[in-house]
Amino acid sequence: MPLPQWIIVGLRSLVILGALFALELMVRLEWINPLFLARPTSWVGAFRALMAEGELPKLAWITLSEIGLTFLVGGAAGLLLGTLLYRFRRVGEASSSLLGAMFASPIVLLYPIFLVIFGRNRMAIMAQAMVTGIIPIILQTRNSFLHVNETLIDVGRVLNLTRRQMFFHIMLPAAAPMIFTGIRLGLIYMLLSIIAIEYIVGVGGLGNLVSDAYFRLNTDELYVGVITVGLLSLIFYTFLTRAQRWVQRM
Amino acid sequence: MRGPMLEANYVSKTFGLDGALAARVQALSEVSLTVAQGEFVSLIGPSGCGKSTLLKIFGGLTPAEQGEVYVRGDRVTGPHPHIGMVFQEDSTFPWRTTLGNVEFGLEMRGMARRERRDRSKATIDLVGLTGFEHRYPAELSGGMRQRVAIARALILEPQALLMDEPFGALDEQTRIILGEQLLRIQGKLGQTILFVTHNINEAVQLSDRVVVMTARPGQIKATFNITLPKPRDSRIIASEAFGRLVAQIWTALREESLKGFVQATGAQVE
Amino acid sequence: MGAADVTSDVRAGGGVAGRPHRELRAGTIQVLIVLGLLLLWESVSRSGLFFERLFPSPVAVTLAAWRHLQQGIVLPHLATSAMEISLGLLIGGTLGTLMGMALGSRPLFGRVCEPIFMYCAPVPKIIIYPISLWFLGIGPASKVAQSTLASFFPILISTAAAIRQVKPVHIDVARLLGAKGFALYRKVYLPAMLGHVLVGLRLGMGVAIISSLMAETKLAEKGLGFLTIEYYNHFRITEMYSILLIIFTGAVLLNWIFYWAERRLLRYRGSDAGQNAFF
Repeated sequence: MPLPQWIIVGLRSLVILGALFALELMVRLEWINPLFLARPTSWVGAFRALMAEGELPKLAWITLSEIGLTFLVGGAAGLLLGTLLYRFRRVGEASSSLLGAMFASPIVLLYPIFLVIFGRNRMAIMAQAMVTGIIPIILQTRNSFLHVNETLIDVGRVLNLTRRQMFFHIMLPAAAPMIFTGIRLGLIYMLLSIIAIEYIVGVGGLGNLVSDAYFRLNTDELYVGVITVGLLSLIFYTFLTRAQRWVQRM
Repeated sequence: MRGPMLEANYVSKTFGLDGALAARVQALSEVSLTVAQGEFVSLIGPSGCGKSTLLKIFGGLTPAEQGEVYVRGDRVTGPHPHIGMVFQEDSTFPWRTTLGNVEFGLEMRGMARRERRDRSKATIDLVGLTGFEHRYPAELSGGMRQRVAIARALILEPQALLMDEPFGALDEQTRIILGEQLLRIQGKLGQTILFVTHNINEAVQLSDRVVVMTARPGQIKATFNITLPKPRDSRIIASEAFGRLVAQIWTALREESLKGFVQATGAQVE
Repeated sequence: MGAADVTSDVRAGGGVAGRPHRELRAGTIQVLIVLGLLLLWESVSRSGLFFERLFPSPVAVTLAAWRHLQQGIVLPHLATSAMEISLGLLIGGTLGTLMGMALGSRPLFGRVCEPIFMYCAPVPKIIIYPISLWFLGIGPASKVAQSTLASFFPILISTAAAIRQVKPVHIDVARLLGAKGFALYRKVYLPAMLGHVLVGLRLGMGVAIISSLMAETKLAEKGLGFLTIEYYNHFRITEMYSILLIIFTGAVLLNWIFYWAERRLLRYRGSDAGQNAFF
C-alpha cells in the first residue's frame, strides 16, 4: 500500500532534521570537538554574516559564472564535435571509443598540466573543467544521432527533404531528448571539477572560501562554504532533472 | 479410486491497488475447487479474475486470506515438495545453462553432481531439448525457454503441476506443439495438472475439465467435462463436438469478459 | 537514476559495435589518431614554439616514467595510494552495498531516504576534505575517508537498482524448487544482481582513485598525487608528466581489467553484452 507523496516528503524532512539535531546535540555535549565541527545553529549565524558582507553572493557568483562560461564554450564545442563525429562515421567510431576510455580515466587529475599552461588562475580551472565535461556531451550527441528512429528518417526521405531540412526538422528534434542526457552529465562534471579545483588550487569562488577557512581555522565559515556548495549542487541537480523531464516529455 | 490431489475450500483474497489506500480489490471470493489425481483441469476467465492468484495460493507463494488449500490432504502453508509450477513470463535463470536451470531443484536438495547430471539429461530429453544442454537462455527461443522451465519443474517429479498461461507468450504453432508434448508427458508420468489459460481452444484441446471463472471477484461460474477421446489430434480438433464445446464455453465466458472489460476500462455501460 | 547510471549509458555508447573487419578499421584509425597526437606533441615540443620546459616531449616523459619505475622512486608512493584506494573502496563498498540492499528491499525506506542519497551523490566530495583533515590528520587516514565517501554513493545507487531489478518470478521459482535462506541469496539474488553490482564497483573504483589522489595533491606526505604536486611545486615538469603518465596507465589498466572481468562473468547475456567495449 504505497503512501501518498506528501507523507513521504514529510518523513524525509524529519530524517534530515533528525540528523541535524543529532549533530547539534553531539557537538553541544562535546562528544565531537566543537573546534572541528560547528553546530548547525552556528552555521546560520555565520551564513548571515557572510551574506551581509556580500562575500558569499560574490563567491557564489564567481563559481557560477565559471560554470556558465565553461558550459557555453564546452557545450557548443561538444555539440559540434559530436555532430561531426556522427557525420564522419569511421572517424567517429574510432575516436568515440578512445573518448570513452578517456572518460573512464581520472582526467580531473590532469589539472597540474592546466596550471602549467595557464598559470594558477581561473582560466586553468575552466579549461580543465571543459575538457572533463565535454566528453559526455560529444559521445552522447553522436550516440543520439545514431539512434534516431529509422522510420523518421524514411519519412524525411519520402518528403524529399534537403539535407538542411532533414537535419533541423528531423534529426535534431528526434535526437534532442537523448542529447540532453549528455548535456546534463557534462554540466554535472563541469560543476564537480570546477569546485574541486577551486578548492585544491585555492583560486576562484566557493572552493577557495573553504580552502581559506581551513587555513584560518575558521570552523563556522568552512561549514558555511561546504553547505553552500552542497546546496548549489542540489539546486543545480534538481534544475537539471526537471529540465530533462521536461525535454523528454516532448 | 482417484482421491483429490488439489483442494480449495472457500478461498478468498483481496489486494490493495496502487496509489490509494481505500481502493482494495477482491480477487477471489469463496472459491472451492477439487482436482482429482491425474486430472487435467483448465481455469479460464476474464483477465484480472484471480486465476493466477488461485494458482499462487496452491503453490504456497501467497497465503489465502480466508478458506484453506490442501495438496494430497496436506494443508498448504508454503511451497509443497509435490508441487511444480510454470509461469507465463520467462522464468529461466539467465545466468544458468539449460542443464544448470533444469538441475537447480536437485542442487537445492543436495544431490551429488553426477546423479544430477544423469537425471537432468533424461528430463531434457523428455522435453526435446537434447543438444541444447550447454546453451544459455539468451541463446534459446521463447518456446525453448518455456520447455526449460517445464523440465526444471518436472525433474523433481511433482505429483501436480500448476501452469500459469505457460504458452501465453508464444506463437500459435509453438503453442499447439508444446500442448501436444505436454499431454504426452502427462500420459507417461501421470501428473495432475491445473492449467490457467485464456485460450478456449487450448483449454478444450488439453483438458479433462474446463472451469470458467467470473469477473472480479473471481468465483466459479461453470464447469465443462471434456470427454473427447485422447490424443486430441487434428481430426478431433476439427470435429463438430470440439467446436460445440468451444462455443458453449465462449457463451459462458463472454458475459464475464464484458464485465471484466468494463472493470478494466472503467467505462459506464448499462 | 543518478549520475552513475547515465555514466554507464554514455560509456556504453562509446563502444565499437559491428562486424569484425569494421572493428579492425576502427582500430587502425584509433592507432593513427593516437600516433598523430603524439607526433604533434613531440614536434611542438621540439620546435621550441612553447617553452620546452612546459611542454616536454613524450619521449622524455616516457623515459622519465621508466626511470621512476626502475629506480623504485615511485613505488612507496604507489603503495600508499593503492592502500588508500583499496581500503576506501572496501569500506565504502561494504557500507554502500548494505545501505543499497536496505534501500532496495524496503520500499518505504527506499522512497523516503533514497532521494537524499541521490541528491548527495553529485556533490563534489572533495569539499569536505578539510573536515577529514581536521579529524584524521594529513596521513593516509583522511584519504581513505575521502575515497570511502566517494565510492559509497555509486555503489549504493547501483545496489539499490540491482535489488529492484531482480525478477520476482525468479524468487518464486527458486522457492518452489526448494531454495531457502542462504542458498536463495547465493544462487539467485547474487547472480541476478551481479551485472549492476559490477558496474557499481567499477564506477566506485574510478571515483575512489580520483578522490584519494586529488586529496593527496591538496595536502599529504606521500602518494602519487602528492608526488605529482611536489614536482609541480619544484617546477620539474617532465617528472610531473611522467607521474601523471604512470597514474593514467594504471587507471586505464585497472578499468580494463574490471571491464574484462565483467564481460567474462556476464557471458551468459549473449552477444549484445559485448557492445560497450572501449579499445
